[in-house]
Amino acid sequence: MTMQVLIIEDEQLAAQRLSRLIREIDQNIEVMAVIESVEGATNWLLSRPHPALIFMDVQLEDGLCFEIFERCTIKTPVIFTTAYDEYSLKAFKVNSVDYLLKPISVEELSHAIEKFKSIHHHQIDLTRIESLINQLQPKVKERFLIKIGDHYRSVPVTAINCVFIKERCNFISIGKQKNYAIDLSLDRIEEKIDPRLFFRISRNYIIRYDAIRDIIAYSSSRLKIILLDWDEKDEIVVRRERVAEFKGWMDR
Amino acid sequence: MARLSEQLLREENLNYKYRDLKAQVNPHFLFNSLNTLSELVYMDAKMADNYIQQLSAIYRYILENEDRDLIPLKDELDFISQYITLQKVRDQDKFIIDMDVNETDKFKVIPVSLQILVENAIKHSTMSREQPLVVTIRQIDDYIMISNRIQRKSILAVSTQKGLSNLKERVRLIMQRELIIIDNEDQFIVKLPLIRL
Repeated sequence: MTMQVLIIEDEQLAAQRLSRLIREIDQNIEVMAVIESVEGATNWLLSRPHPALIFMDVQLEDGLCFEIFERCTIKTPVIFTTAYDEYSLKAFKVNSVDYLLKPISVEELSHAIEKFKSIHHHQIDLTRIESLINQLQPKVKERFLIKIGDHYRSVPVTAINCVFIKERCNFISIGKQKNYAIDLSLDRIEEKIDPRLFFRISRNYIIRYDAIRDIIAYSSSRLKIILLDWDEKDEIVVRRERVAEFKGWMDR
Repeated sequence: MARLSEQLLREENLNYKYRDLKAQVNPHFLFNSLNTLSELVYMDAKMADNYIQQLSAIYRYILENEDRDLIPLKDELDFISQYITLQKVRDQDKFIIDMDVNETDKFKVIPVSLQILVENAIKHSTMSREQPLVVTIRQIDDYIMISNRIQRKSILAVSTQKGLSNLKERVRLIMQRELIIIDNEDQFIVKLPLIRL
């Protein structure tokens, strides 16, 4: 009986190698498609019956494969592939499907497929995949430690009105005259704070929902934000590309 | 007093070099290249051979030059061309480099600095056949300018985020000049200082 698998991998030669090795190991395995992006994979999985097994590279052309799990429900077992194990997938290897390090060896792949077949008859425990995803995702932070002169201060995330870049330095704003430098980039901070509370409106600003005082239509279909206790001269503007998503976030 | 601070500066310099060395030999690049190679050997022996030569040259360049402060611009450009060639075998049409640098024999540059900047652009950007990442490399007076349109990944892969800040520090220590980073809404531009021979 033919078994259908899906390959999610952004490098063509890597996908080609994986397909070739799969064929060598078991001629009854059919590769349904090779998909190169988070977006492509999400669309594919939302519109088609799912395969028996998915091979998934961690880094895709538009982001990390874990985003796919956030955008759609996957009930299919997954074998992850990665060039370098920076996500400590080892713990996962013990309980569940498998992960393979590149360059993928035929023995390891064969072993992973055998392992899949032996557990295939039992229903895959979805909570395992969920727990992996939780494990891989950076935990949401509760507070940040900042240094003000010789003093340290721990600021609860909920006290932060906004995070911003000024003159290439990163700051958090927690009140009038209370803008403090922070040693993390906006990208890193964005990863670490609850996306329900905070929104990245532009490259230079992340704002907190409860700190928004007013939203004003602004030139070239942007939005100007009036923020609680904001005393910098710069205007806070939602960049055009983020406006639609921002409106969605304000109206969820 | 002067000697002491000089000593400190030298130590600091060494520290940065050490940290940078770790950033330079990106394990992802090595293992992904080896994975590509493991398919190439089945596809095209000659191409695989060529790939091995280039990969060796890249790592040899890094190993031979990691202790040096400055290197002729021409050598760095040869190195970056090899790096790009290998990257393009992997990313194919998703990654385009537009390099036009003429006065290569008149300048020196910090070794592996250009590679850090190109890798940085690749790491932070989405790229697809429909919307490739285009990295432009130009020479403007005594700067090399590396720029790309901002196509930000929604979640950034785990990274040390040290590459750029270390390079900035090294430029300061070795050249007593500044790495200029222009990060506007559409373009990410870095101007890397050169030293005239």
